[in-house]
Amino acid sequence: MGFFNKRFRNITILVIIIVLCIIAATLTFRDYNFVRGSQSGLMDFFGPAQERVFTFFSPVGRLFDGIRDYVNLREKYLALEQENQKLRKDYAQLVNLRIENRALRELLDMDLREDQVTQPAKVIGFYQSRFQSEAMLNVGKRQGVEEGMAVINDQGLVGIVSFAGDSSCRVRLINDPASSIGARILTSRALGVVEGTGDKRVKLGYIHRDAHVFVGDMVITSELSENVPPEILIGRIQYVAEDPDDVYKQIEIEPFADFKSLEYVMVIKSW
Amino acid sequence: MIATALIVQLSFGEYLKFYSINFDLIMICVIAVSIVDGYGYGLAYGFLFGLILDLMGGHIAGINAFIYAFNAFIAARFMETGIKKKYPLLLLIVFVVTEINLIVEALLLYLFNFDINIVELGREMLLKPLYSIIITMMVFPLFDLGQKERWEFGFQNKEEN
Repeated sequence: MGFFNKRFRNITILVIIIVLCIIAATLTFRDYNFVRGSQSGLMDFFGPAQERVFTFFSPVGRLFDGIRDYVNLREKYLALEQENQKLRKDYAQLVNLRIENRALRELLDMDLREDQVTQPAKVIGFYQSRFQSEAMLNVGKRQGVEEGMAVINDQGLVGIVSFAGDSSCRVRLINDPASSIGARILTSRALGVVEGTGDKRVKLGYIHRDAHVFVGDMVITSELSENVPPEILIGRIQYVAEDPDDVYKQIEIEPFADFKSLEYVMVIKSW
Repeated sequence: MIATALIVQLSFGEYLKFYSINFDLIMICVIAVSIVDGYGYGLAYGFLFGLILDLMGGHIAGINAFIYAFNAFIAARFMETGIKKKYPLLLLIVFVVTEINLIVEALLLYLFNFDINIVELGREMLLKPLYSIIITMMVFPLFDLGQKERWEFGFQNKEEN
């Protein structure tokens, strides 16, 4: 009898917890200020400790990365050699184009593109699950960081600020299943949307099957996005396929930003 | 202990990915609390730290809270059957809970209209339990410290020898 009472009590507690979870999920969907306040409070409370732990463990993390990279070192070296040769050619071409562009703009009396106003930030943690792929930064509203701002590093676009607390913020990385960013293919200029997937791949959607797309082409941010500056590198096309029943191509991108080695980033406040 | 696990997981988790599979230190700590301190503590800590993780992660609050509370429930149910405190049984609990976690998570993903990659799920179901077991062997002895009846290696009871 005691066993059944205990079992009944245990199941009752579990049912109560399930009900509480449903209430919590409902509150999130309704986006109550109370939930946002709790999120901000918790992020600011755990932020300093998280920053210290992250800084403490960084060398160990880099060691793991080093071991992983060492295995593919030769292949990487050869690929980089080839890329370097191509980039040198492109660079020479770019310098000429820049000079020509400046001269033409001056002729047309147009303003040159203004520099971006950025806020440097340090990555202090990650939220990784199959539901999400986010990083936490040590800057927030106090430093002028707002939701929707683009986050970049020296490799390219990292993500978009999804939530800004007072002294920390969360960045939705471009491989997050909820991420969706306007993009262009560099050579064909075709417009599409870069989206994350549940298994952390990055897709380029809404590219018509008649568009010319090839593996290796680069993808950049489009000028149509409100918060993200145009022409920021996103990634390289690594897979293209067509489905006869679909008007759009199936394209996968390899992001330039290595999310594993993220350490310092820049939040673009305006441009 | 679970608070430390939460901070370590959020700060260090990305570095310790193994074939794109994250380790779940919080799950292991919740199982350990449920086994060592009892059902009530396990459920309470599972729910509380799951909710904190949900709120900090900014995803749908309640999902991790439910999953971790459910983990505590399963671990406690195993212990209620009167099994002996043997490490192989602990590892079996961790294995079962990890598999159940992955299935529940996939179902919830499906309910919330996320894409599910079956191949990826299969790979995770093969590798994640192994990963969890390795971490359990490192973390669990910390929870077992100071307990009168310590967990033992092997399948046979000392009294039986």
